Amino acid sequence: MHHDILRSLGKFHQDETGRIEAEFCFDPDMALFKGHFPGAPMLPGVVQIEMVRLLLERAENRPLQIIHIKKNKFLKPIVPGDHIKVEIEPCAKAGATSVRARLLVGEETAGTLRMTLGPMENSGVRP
Amino acid sequence: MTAYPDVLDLIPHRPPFVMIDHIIDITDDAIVAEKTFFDNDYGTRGHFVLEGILIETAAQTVAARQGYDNLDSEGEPARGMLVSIGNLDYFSRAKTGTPLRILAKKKTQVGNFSILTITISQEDATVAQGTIQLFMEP
Repeated sequence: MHHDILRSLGKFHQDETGRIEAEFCFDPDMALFKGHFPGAPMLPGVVQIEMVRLLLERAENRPLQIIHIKKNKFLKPIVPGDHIKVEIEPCAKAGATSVRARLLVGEETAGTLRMTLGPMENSGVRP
Repeated sequence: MTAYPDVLDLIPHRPPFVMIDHIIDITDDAIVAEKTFFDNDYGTRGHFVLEGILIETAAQTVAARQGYDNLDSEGEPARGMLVSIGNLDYFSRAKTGTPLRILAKKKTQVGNFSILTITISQEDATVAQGTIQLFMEP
């Protein structure tokens, strides 16, 4: 899945405040869309979560694991071929990364997300 | 032990995005399903399952319940959409090669919108727990 997300990533920019802006466009021919759903391709909502995680991993140059999702709203279906803009605002938190993110298609907000991530533990136990 | 239909007869999802293996139990207000991921499956990274995909296992578990209810009325598997996720905690990372048990319990339903609590466990330990809201197409 991360391979699909990363090859759909276009622009990526992080400013000095840590704010991230990025753009994605998913190829309709991706195998993902054959399964979600046959004849009616739609980007799974959970992929939006992983898109934000991957952008943060790129920004922090380290793998991250999701600790808590406070709220994630899926407001508008996203279909392959849509140009998706992702905006991420970090909220500093000791030992963890808390963010607010917004996904837009055109001028419309397709999704919003507030979550907290921490450094990835290979042991599998939450830090 | 009750034998339940094949999940592919209950949900509209198809590979590589089928995130439940079979149903374990259905009660009036809950459903339990199981899924085992393996290395290199869609939705895994190394020897672990992506956190976002765990939510998808729960969403498809709920979809399977809807599909099961529709069987009696000879309906087609309905498509559902995640509307929101709330206060979801991850307590550990889900491993590949070991079954995940997914419990979805209905809290409220208004028309085609349902709010459910989800608990995902592995080897009797809770991996993730929280609330999801789904819209099921009529």
